Amino acid sequence: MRVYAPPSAVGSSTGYLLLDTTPTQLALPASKIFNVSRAIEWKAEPPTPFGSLLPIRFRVPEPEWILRISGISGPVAALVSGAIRIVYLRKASLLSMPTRTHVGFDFYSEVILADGKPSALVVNIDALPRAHREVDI
Amino acid sequence: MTFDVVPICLGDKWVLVRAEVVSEFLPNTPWLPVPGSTPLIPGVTTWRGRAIPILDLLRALDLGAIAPLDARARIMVIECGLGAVAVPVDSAREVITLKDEELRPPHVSSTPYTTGEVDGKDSVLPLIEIAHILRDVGKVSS
Repeated sequence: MRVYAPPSAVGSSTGYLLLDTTPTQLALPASKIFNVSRAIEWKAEPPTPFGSLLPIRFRVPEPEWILRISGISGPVAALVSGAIRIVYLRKASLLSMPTRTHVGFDFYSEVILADGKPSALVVNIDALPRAHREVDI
Repeated sequence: MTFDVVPICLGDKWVLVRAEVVSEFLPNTPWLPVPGSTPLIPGVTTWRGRAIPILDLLRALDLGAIAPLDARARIMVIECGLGAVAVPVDSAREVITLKDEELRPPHVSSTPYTTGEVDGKDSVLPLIEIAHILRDVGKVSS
């Protein structure tokens, strides 16, 4: 999967990967994703180093995709399942997460609005708990 | 001396909150769960162009819990020194002005975060200090 910006979106909106997560749809900044591949090479053992990288909704028993993400401390991988959509959002569709909030809020940087209502959360990749080890797949 | 309170209904329980911290009442507004958040601050909603946390007052007062698609009739926006939060409630009545001597120390009420009681028409109404709840939770929106 290649992430690209249509000409009309360049300079006016930002790309995000919308993941099929519950109960809340989560999104990742497209600029942080450098590869998306099928999880066919994923081995079940050990599951927790990757599951612990991202919030619990990413910890899926049958992952379909592996997202390679650029983090501050280097590449990390996330296992997800379900549909992945690329959306381009203008600034008006995003609100900053409340600051000085409970630590659980620190994992998310922005709220995505749809029809003026909160519809998804943008994951703050660099604030997520780190795995004990990282594996370069 | 007098002070103003707003009666709000949570389920079948009426409680009072200080009017000075109530900023606005909104119609039922959907809110978004934040995975991994504390049960007392389970999500966020939008207000005046910004995202603010949702405070589950039912859970804080041991009256149950809210859900994202819960049909609470109103959202009460509270602004205090610790920031702004949105509180889903079932209903609210107009502001009541009380004399200081009408507020008694809590005796009958077993509701958590009760700092006083007032005699209502049919029952004793507890005065709830939202700021104490927010302080216990830790942090709120700036």
